[in-house]
Amino acid sequence: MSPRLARVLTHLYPPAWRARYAEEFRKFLEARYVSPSGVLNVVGRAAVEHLLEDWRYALILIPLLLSAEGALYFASGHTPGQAMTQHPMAAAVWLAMEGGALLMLLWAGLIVAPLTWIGTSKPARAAIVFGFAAFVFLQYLPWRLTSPGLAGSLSFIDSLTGGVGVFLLGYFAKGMLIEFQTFDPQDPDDFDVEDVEMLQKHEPKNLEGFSLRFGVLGAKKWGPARLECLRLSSMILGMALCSVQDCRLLSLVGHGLLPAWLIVGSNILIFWDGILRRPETK
Amino acid sequence: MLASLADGPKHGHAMIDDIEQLCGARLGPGTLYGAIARLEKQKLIEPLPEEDRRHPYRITAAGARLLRAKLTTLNHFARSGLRRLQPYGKGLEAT
Repeated sequence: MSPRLARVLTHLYPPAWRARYAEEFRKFLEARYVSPSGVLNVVGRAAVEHLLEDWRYALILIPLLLSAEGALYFASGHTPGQAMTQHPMAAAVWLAMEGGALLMLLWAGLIVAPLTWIGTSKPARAAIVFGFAAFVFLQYLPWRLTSPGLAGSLSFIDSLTGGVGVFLLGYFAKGMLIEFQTFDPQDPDDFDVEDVEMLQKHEPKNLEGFSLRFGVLGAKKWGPARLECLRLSSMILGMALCSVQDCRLLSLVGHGLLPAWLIVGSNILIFWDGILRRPETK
Repeated sequence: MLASLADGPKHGHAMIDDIEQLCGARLGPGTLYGAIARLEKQKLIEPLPEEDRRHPYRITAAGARLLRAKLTTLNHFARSGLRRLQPYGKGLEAT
């Protein structure tokens, strides 16, 4: 990493942390190749260190983010056109939220789709494709096709379907991760796939059995780190979208969770970084 | 990280590689130094003098005790579980 970028990233950390680790951390970053996901990791951890150093940052920062984006969300209207005519800042926020939705779709396509494909039967794959297409339509297209008058009702339907869908995905991912945490990625023969398939055969409706098979096969091919990305993203998005189910006003909270979108975006990078990563220079 | 340091002092680069070999997870730089800061604050690891622009760490006696306690618990759990599965063999039916 270039010395200049290393200095900038180090400076993101709080003063007390820098007093102890700045020089060491900067040398560490300069001495190795740091991928884009690694840069995001540093930025994210810097934010965490600020919060750990002074928990009052969270009390100030989170309500500010939610309030600002919520206010701009309502001020921007329900279509990009209305937002554009009102204020450039409102238009920028709208585009940022649209970007968040696009990010979620990319995450679904780039992570969920390949990981779920390997552990499912043909009917299940068809259900996944159909469900994903319905999810895209219900979450995204109505904003483009309807008038502002219907936007309120459609946003509730969007929230309900999206929240239920992602909540189920989060449950599935959580069950999978809990089940395979005893699985040793260094010794894949430790887990017998035949046993897992037998479990699924005898208990086809057992979600944990299905998720275990998925987890075993997924871990063998992609490793537990990427499956952890799926679990965390699913849980965070599930929580965010479930909050929107309750009430129209709670879309302030759902759409205000910008960190959730950032985490999803970083998880996309983490997932594919391991596959496309260049060899590190030592 | 404690398990990685258990077999000798290491700097950050070596810890990242060793942890990836141990458990398949590649720590980001931010995660690594966040953990170093936390463990050092809890006096479970301690820094050693700088060598060739690298800063090695070693596990402390307290860190070794904590690691031993954690691994003993996990080992006990694994042995108990495997012992209970012995009557079932591979066929998942009690013999």
